[in-house]
This record gives sequence, C-alpha cells and structure tokens, in this order.
Amino acid sequence: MDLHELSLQQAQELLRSRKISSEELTRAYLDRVQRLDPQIKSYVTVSGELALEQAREADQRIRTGEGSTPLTGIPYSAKDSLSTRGINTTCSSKILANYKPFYDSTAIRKLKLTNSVLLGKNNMDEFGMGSSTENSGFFTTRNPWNFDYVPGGSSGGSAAAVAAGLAAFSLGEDTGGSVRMPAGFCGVTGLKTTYGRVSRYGLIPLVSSFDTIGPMARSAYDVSLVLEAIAGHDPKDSTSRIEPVQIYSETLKKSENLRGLRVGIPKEYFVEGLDSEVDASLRTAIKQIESLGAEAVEVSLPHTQYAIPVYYLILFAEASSNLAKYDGIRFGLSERDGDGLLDVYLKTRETGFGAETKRRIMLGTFALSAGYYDAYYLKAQKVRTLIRQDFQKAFETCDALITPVAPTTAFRIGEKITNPLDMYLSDVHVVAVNLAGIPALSVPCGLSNGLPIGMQIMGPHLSEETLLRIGHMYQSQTDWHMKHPSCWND
Amino acid sequence: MKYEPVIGLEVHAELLTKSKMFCGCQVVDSITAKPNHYICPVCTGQPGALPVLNKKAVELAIRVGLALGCEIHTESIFARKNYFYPDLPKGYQISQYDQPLATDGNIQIETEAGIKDVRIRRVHLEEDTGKLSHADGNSFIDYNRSGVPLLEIVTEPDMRSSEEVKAYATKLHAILRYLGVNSGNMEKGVIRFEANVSVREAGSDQLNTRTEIKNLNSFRALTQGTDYEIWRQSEIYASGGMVEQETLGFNEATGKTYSQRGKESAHDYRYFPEPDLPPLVLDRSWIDSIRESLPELPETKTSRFIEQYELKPQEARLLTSEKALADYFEAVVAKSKSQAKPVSSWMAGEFMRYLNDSGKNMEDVTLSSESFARLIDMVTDKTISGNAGKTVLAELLKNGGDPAQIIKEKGLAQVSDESFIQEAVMKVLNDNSSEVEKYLAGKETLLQWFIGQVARATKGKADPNVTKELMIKALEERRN
Amino acid sequence: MSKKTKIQIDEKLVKEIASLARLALSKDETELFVPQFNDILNYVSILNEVDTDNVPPAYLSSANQSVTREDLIEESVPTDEFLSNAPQAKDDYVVIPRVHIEQ
Repeated sequence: MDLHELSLQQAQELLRSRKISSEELTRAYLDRVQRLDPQIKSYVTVSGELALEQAREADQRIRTGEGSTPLTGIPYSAKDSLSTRGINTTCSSKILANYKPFYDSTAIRKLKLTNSVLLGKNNMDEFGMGSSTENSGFFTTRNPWNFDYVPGGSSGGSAAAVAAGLAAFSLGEDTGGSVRMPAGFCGVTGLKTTYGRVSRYGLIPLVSSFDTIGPMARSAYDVSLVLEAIAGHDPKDSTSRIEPVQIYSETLKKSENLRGLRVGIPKEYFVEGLDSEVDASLRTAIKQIESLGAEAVEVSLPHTQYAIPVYYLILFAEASSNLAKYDGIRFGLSERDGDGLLDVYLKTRETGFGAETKRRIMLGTFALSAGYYDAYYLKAQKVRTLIRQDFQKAFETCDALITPVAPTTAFRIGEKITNPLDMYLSDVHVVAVNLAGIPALSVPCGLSNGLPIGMQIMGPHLSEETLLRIGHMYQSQTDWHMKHPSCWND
Repeated sequence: MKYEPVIGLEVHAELLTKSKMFCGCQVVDSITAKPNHYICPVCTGQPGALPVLNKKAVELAIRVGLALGCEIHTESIFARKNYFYPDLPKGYQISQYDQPLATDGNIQIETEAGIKDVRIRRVHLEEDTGKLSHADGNSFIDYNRSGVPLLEIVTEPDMRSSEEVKAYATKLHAILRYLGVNSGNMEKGVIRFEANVSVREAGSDQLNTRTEIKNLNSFRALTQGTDYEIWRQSEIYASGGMVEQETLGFNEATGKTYSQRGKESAHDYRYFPEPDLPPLVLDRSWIDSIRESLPELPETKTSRFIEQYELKPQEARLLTSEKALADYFEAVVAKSKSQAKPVSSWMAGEFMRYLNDSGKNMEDVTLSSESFARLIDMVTDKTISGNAGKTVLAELLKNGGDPAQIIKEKGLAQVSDESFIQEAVMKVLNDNSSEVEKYLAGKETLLQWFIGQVARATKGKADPNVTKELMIKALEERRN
Repeated sequence: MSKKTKIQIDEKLVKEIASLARLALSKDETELFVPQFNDILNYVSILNEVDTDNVPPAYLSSANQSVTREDLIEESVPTDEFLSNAPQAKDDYVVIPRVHIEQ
C-alpha cells in the first residue's frame, strides 16, 4: 500500500508503532502534489518547508508519547479561505493574492495543537462564490475522475486534493453546498457542520449567517476524527455553539446497525430534472440503509422551491457588506497609480475582483438599498423562517433526511459558467440546509459514466453524531468510498 | 417673515470602559498614545475577525438610558451601517438601527421662558472609527480609536434656539459625567455634538430640509455654529431659494458652516441586522439593579443642596456642576464643625478660583476633605484670620502639606490678645499723628486704614475685630 | 409587501449601484450586467408568491443570545506585524492618498 492510501486510523497506527514517520508520510504527499497537482490544480499555495517542520515536530511528540492525538503527524490541506498565519490566504482572489494574515483561524489553531501537518491551501471559487471552482481568480481545479469536468465548488480544491490522494483530509467550508457538492462530484465524504459547531473566527466570510467549516476525507470515520479536533465553543465567535463536543469516533466504533432510526425522503428533492442514474443510485442507497435496520418514510418540505432565491438574496446582501473591507488600504491588492483616494478604491476593486464577485456585490448593494430592502432582503429572511419550520416539522418524525447532493454528476468545465442563473439553479439540493443551519453529510453512493454520485444525509441541529453513524454504517456495507480515480495510482 | 429654528442634537459619547466595544484592546487617549499600538484583527477589520460584545459597555448604556428616563428594551439587535471611508476598517460600522437599546426619554432644560422638555428619541450602542490626520498629499490612519465603545443619543427636533441647544448640551454633559460613563472632554473628542438644523415659517408645523453640522468641538462652537446655520438658512428662504440637505463642518475662525463633500453623499447606509452578533436580550433584574445603583443626578442633588444646606440656587448649581466637586463639598461639610454656609463660601470662592486659574481638575486635587475642613474650622474659630486662611489654602493646594504646620511655619496664627494688639494700635497712632488729626476732624474712612496698618505691623496676626474695637476706643481717647 | 416586484434595471441604475459599491465597471461589464440582473431579479421575485404576513424574519431566532465578554484588557498585536501588510505605511501610520474635505 502506498502511504497516501492509508486511512487516518491506519496511518496513526503506523506512526505510533514507528513503522513510518510523519516526515516520510508528509514527503510522500508532497511528492504526489509535485507530480500530479500541475494537472489537477487543487493547491494555490504549497507550504512544503513549513509542513516538514511540523512533521518533524509531530515525530518528536510521537517519540516522547506526549499529547499524541489521532491526527498527530497527519498531513492535511485547508481551503484558502481559512486564515493561516504567515501563509498566503487568498480566497482564490487577485485582491488577496499576496495577503498573509498575522493570525490563525481557530480551526487551524486547534489542528496545530494536535500537531497535524498543513501541506498547503486549496483552490476555491473566489471568496466562495460559485459551484464549480471555475470562478477562482487564478485557475480552475480539475475533477480527478475526469480532468475535463469540474470538481464542484466552492471547496473544489479541497475535494480534489482528498480524492486524488494529495492530502489525507482537508478543511473545507460550506455556505451553500460548498463542501457537500464537491464531495459528491469527487467521490469523497464531506460534512457541513451545524452553524456554530466549528468556530468561524479566522474564516474569511462570505455569508456570515451561513458559513460553516467542515472536514472532507475519505470516510465518515475519518471525518469524525477531524470533527472532534476542530469543533467546540470559541469565545472569539459570538455565534459559536456552547454545547459540548461528543467523541464522534467512539460512537461510530460502537455502532452496529441503524435499528430504531427513521430516515425521511423529502419528495421535493426527487423531481423532474434529477438525472435518472443519480435517482437510481439514491434509491439503492436508501435500500441499503433500510437493510441496516432504519425505517424510510416519505416526507415533505413544501417550501423547497423557494430555497434558492432566499439563499441568493441573503448571500448577495451579506457578501456585498463582507467584501467592503477589500479596499486597498490596510492589506491586499492596492492600486495606487490613479488619481487620489477614490481611485484606490475603484481600481483596486475593479482589478481585484472577478466578474461573478462583482455581480454579487452589486446585487447585494441593490437588495439592501433604501426602498428595496423590504421587498428583497426582509422578504427572503421571512421565507427563510418558513423553510426552517419545514425542517423542524420533518425532524419531529424523522432522525435524518436523505436526498441526492446534486441533480447530476459533475458537469463539463465551461458548461454553466456563461449563465450565472444556470449555475445558481444547480444548488437546488444543498442550499436549504444552510438556510436552516442544520448539518448534512455527503457520502459517495455510486458512479455514472465514471463520475461519482453523492448522497446527502441531513439532520437536526447538532446531530452530527447521527449523520456520521448513518454514513459510517452505510460505508461498512458498501465500497463506493473506496473507489478512486485512476490518478490515485499514479 | 419670521423664521423659527427647529433643532435636534445627536451626541456621540465614548464610554469609559477599559477595553474596546468588540475586542480586548485597551481604550487609550488616541491623541497621546503611539499610533496603531492598541489594535488587533477585530478592530482593524482583518478578514475573518469577529466581534464580541463588551458587557460593561452595555451596562453603561443602560445607566444612561435609565438616567434619561428612557424605556430600556429587553431585546435589541445590532446592525451594520455600510459605507466606505478610510477610518472605517470593515467598510461598515456595527451600530444599532431597528430595535435600539433605549428609546423615548427626555431631559428638562431651563430657558428664559421656563422649563422645557427635550425629548430623547433613542440611545444606542455603536463602535468608534479610527482617526485620520493629513499632511501634504497624504492622509494617515491610526486605528487606536477604532472600536472604542460609543453611545449615540439622539433628540427629537425640539430645540428652538442656540440657547436651548446649549442648555441641553450642558445638562447632558453633566449627566454623563455624573454617571461616570464619559469624561466629558470635548477637546479630546471624547464627547461629540452634531446639530441637525432646519428653519420654518413661524407658526408652521411642517419640517423643512435639515442640514447636519459636525465637528462642533466646544459649547461655543455648538452655539455659534447653530446660530450661523439658522441665519444662513433663513437668508436662503427669504431670498426664495431652497436649502439643500447636506453635511456641514464649522470653521471656528470664520464662524461659518461649510459644505463637507467627501463622506458618503448618498445617505444610503443599507442597514441590516449584524449576523455576527446574536440579539441582546437583557434580564429585567439586571436593569433593576443598575437602576438602584444610579447616583443622584445633578438636578436632584441641586434641589437637595438648597434645602439641606440652605444654599442659594446659584451656589448650589455651581457646587453640583460636577459630581466630584459636589461629593467633595459634602465630605468637607461632614468633617467640619462649621456650618455649610462658610464651607460653601470657601468652595465656591477661593477653591473654585484656584481651579480656574491653575487650569486643574477635581482629579488633580490632593487636598483631603479632612484638611480642608480643619482649615475652615480654624478660620471659623478665629485661630487664624480669613486672609491667613486664604494664604494657607493656596499653599495647600499648590504644594500640599498640613494646615497646622503651614500656619506655624509662616507664623500666621491669629492673636486676640488685647495687650498685644493694644501695643500695635498705640504704635500706629503715635506714628501717624496727622492721620489721627484728620480722623478726628471727620474723615472716618481712615478707620479702615488704621486697622490695615495694625494688620501690616502684626503681619496679619491681629484679630481684625478686636483691632477695630481697640482702635475706635484709642482714637476716641485722643479726641480729648 | 412592496409592489416593486417587476423592477427594471437599466444602465443608469447599474452605474449608480456600482458607484455605491466602489466598483468601476467597464462599458462592456455594465452592458453585460443589465440583462443578467434583470434575469436574476425576476427569478427571485418568485418569493412574492409566499404569504409572509406574521412570519418573523429568521435573524431574530438565533441559537445564541446576549453573548458578551467581560471588560478585560487583552494584549494588542505588535504594530509592525499589522503594518507589514499595509500597502503604504510610515511612522506607525497607514498611509493613503489625501482624503479631501472641501472648505
């Protein structure tokens, strides 16, 4: 077995028994990045030297046995919207191309405490605005299963890195499906956490009301190990949840079946427009879950059709405000060859932002304007309440809901990029979850024409334990999550 | 055509907390502190930083709301006020818009026409911006002040003259100082006043376009700026023109307001609720405990002083103009054997004079209330003369020390011994025989002069009353 | 519910919004945005179908309430670290072209 093929648990066992060192493991990954990433383009920044330093420190810890955790010495990557001190954090935008934060995000700081090894930062849609990573200000990441296809977005780089064996796990970020959708397109397991479960401090915001950080890895079990390390209350984040963090991996280890669980199948997610193979894979997966002892029932989420307009209106508004700080004054790109201060603002933002970003900022500025606020922003927030109530009602009778993660498998690069509205509509299965703040897990459940199909498991607030359990049990009976693209063996 | 001014005031007051509104950076004097030395990711608007609300700021805001008779809302939310300006690092200010902390209060002011209510529309919390300075072709930004907690107090447009504006501003200023929420230093910009001015035909009740005057850094600027603007707008209407809604600055040198283009001219702040801060839900019992711990406010204290200490209204107002002064006065009265009246004379007189002349504040006074009380008592019981007392007080205030010690060193103890004074009286009369003749011939005003001469000769020690008695007697004896 | 639902975006409005957002759009960009905006805004107006009388906006129901911190001083970030990112800095200040306020 090649080193990159090891699961987190396997790698940890070999590290602890000193059969391999973190330095070796890290070099193996860095080597693969060097060889394969020029084609896949999942990384914006590879911090090789720093990674090896961290690996050596991890080896030291393992040697002395002090403070060793399941993630000690394990190489990972992070989406480029997570602040990493002293390392470029660009959000794949020209406006932050050389921005090095002087502080770490809490999630990164927590991983530092475990002595895991940061390999580098992953490509994304600029500031998280997109569903394919084609809106990156630098380059488009390729789907490792077929380089002509998108990896999904906006955490496309993270998903591709995990799928291609270029990182053992990755920290992604989900605002409107940005972890789940690329996880589905790339055949990896990705978790959108409950809003507030993982601190947002240091996460460069897109939609402050929806942004969440979530792990992406090759199995639900691996995801659970990462979640344990990064979740928890942070006094620096006023929206972070105070409820204690469970030891998810323990629950998974003890889990034997899914008896007693009731899963709802929302009929609004299985309508026209859903690719027939995706539909078939989902039905099979649901049967699999039933065979593990769960009961499947049909439910309804009546306001589903309004989720996309609600999501986008709130996104436009909050993003327009969150992106006002990119002004060329204190950090980042600064165009100073114009005529006075106003030109600094105008030229910096004109050069620094991509087209989709500009479009959304404008729409948000408009939606919040005097005279339009009630019709757009306020209206969206009210319908959002109704969507939340839909979920609350469904969870009165179900422990989880199962849906496809996308209506199709990955689409071709360039296919949807010319029409923004088309791109927005591909988010139909994922955005309602963000509106409600609930968690959702994406697990691979099939292949169609060589491209992965993803199943989405949603649950009520703070139900990560249940979702991971369902995912883990499903993965104990199936092997979709163990299938890899051909570049895996390169 | 008579025009009636319609004026509302917006006050921004920095709250006396140790740390900033949404982060733990220390609140410092941004005029003297080294630039950009009290900053962090939050107050410099770094991507990914998040705000966390300072509980003390909320407490101080509730104090103010209660003192102004407002309704304190148990649920309030924060909002983003979006605009671009280099001293605003996030590109938005966290403030409150819908659902502010407190609304519907009032302040009573004294006008020539009597007592008047100025209604307070709202009191809300927000954060301060950084500071800009300019030189040559550049501007310089210091973020030390960015994120300092700010309280915004907005009135209804209830004021009708610059006098009323001044009365309101003075009273609010005193209340904020009394509550210990703001230091009151207008020059340092710790409290800022903005006037919203419009005029209308006398008798009309419609509201015309108003202008906003900023940068009024003193009470004088406040009244002058308001007066000028009232005049300017009246002239415009009188000549058939229209007043434009704009933001104005005030030039103290010329006494005129001027247009300030440069700030976001379209006042579309696109307010929306701040997603990074959950709603602020207040415990009724907390509000009640704050209410109970409110200090006695200036007006109540003044009335009490008039009654309790039998002071004249003028005196009482002077002594309560500052809480520290009022507390000091009461401490001295409590520790003194004398009546409140002489204490009041000393305080309102010599003591206030010293403060004004030396430019010092109550915070700089080191003279303990015990020592002051003792000194006053020594004058009351004639151990020293009034004049000697003034000398001692000046010494105490300037260099500190002990009253008894100073009296001893300077030999200021008053002497009432008749034989001692009689000796001095005889000497003065013997040395000034022509004046004696003038006096006996009718120039009675010379009596004071004779007494003064005795005071000089005895270096102020001779008790003036005894001197007078003996002097009159001695002069009468010379008549014969 | 506002009746401003069939909003028509034109170049003038796009330019106004761009100015508010400090974006200097090129002529091509402006032209491209107008029909895109119209499409998107028409699409989102589907929300007018939904009866939201008496429905509170979602931002009032947060999992957290009244999250505050004690008034304690924490260490600040060293000035030079902060300024190392500034495009232009001098003598501990962040430097920008002069802000103009007309007299």
